[in-house]
Amino acid sequence: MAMGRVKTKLEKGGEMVAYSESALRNNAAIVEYCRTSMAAISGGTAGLLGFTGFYGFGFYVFAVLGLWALLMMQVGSQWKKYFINRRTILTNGFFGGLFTYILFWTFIYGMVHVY
Amino acid sequence: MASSYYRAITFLGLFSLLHAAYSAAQHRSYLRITGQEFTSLPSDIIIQGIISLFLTMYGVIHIAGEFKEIRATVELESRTWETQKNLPSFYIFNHRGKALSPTYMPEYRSNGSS
Amino acid sequence: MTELLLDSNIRIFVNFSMALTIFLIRILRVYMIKLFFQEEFIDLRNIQCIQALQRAEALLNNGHVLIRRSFISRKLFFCHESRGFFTIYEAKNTKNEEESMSSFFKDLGALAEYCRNNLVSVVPPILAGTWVHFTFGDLICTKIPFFITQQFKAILQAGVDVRDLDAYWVSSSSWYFINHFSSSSISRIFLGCDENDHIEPSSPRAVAALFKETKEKVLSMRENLEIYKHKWSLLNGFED
Repeated sequence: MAMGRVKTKLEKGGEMVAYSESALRNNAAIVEYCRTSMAAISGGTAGLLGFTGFYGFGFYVFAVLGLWALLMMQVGSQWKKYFINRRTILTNGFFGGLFTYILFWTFIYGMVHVY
Repeated sequence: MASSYYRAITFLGLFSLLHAAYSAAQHRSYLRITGQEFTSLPSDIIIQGIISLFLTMYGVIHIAGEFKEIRATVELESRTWETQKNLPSFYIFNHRGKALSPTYMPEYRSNGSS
Repeated sequence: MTELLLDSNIRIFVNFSMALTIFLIRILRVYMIKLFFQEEFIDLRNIQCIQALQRAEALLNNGHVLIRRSFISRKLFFCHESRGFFTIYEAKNTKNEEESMSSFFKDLGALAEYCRNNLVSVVPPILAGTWVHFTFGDLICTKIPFFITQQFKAILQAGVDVRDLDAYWVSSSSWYFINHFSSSSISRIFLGCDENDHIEPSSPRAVAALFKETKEKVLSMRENLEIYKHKWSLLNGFED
């Protein structure tokens, strides 16, 4: 069907808010894309800066926060128009991204600092 | 075109990252040749790396696509009555109109209504 | 323990070329998938039958609001003894099955499907893995920049049996496998899809699976319609 599914949620005031499922999925896919790219690029940066041990994992947390801040800067003050929950953007796919991050970190670290 | 602008930013960031990586590798091999101990990278490489990281992330976020409004009412407002009344479940293709086709062959001969 | 010094040629000729190979294999697989998994042809008669099944189900659910005459005429459309829709469908189906020794060929088709699946998703990585193993199998290739316990040594240093080596050195065959298993999200960004995608979005495939059950469904639906005892619910107590 042309019409996307509609998902409803009870707001605090007791009124129902309807969300369009396809728009939600579109936004989630964009966030996922940004997250994977961010994990790869920041992993590369961590590798080239030569972080080892806990500094590297700290840098990942820093990069996740940075991505979140950039996303929030882009949508501005009306984030409620685009996302149901602001915090899920921060926490969703944290460990999936970590895997990509470690791969790139190790790869670039090996290329730059080992030999 | 805004998209190509952000694309250019992303490629600039990636190129700058690559350059920083190359500088870091050169620095490492220089240290190794001169026999010095590695403590940390020179600050210009670090700054270049972090700045280009943020540049690339900024570009990627804009490349990734536009966010859509998630409230269903916004989507519904733009729909016309013609799309609204179009209900696929009520389509009927198997009706007597097919008898008008020149290639129509009746499947059986009916003898009175049942 | 002093720092190991690796030959800097390893950087370009092993590390970089391996990453390049993995990426190229990903691209190759995407095109192989496009080549082998074309959209399956769906039988028009089957679609017709599925929609008839839906209508019959609607009739079963909502038949009680129709008067008896309309219900019976609708029921007869589906299961009249000689020209009901389901009756014709079954008759044609049995005839078709006699014509083509279908079960044998279906098995063959499933086997071919299995082979193609393997060809696309299993063979290229294994070939590349063998190549890596025989060409640079026992080289130390890179180093992990974080601490790791001794238990991981067996995983990370496959092909290198040096007892005193620190656990954070990685041999090239292990590095290949790590790369291979964790690069799917990257390939999704660069190529727009990955190797699991040919299973996921294929609604025709799912529909095709549905078609296999239509025969039994037709039988049971026909029985249900025959059994169904019609009672008009709108005027309780009055008979038409």
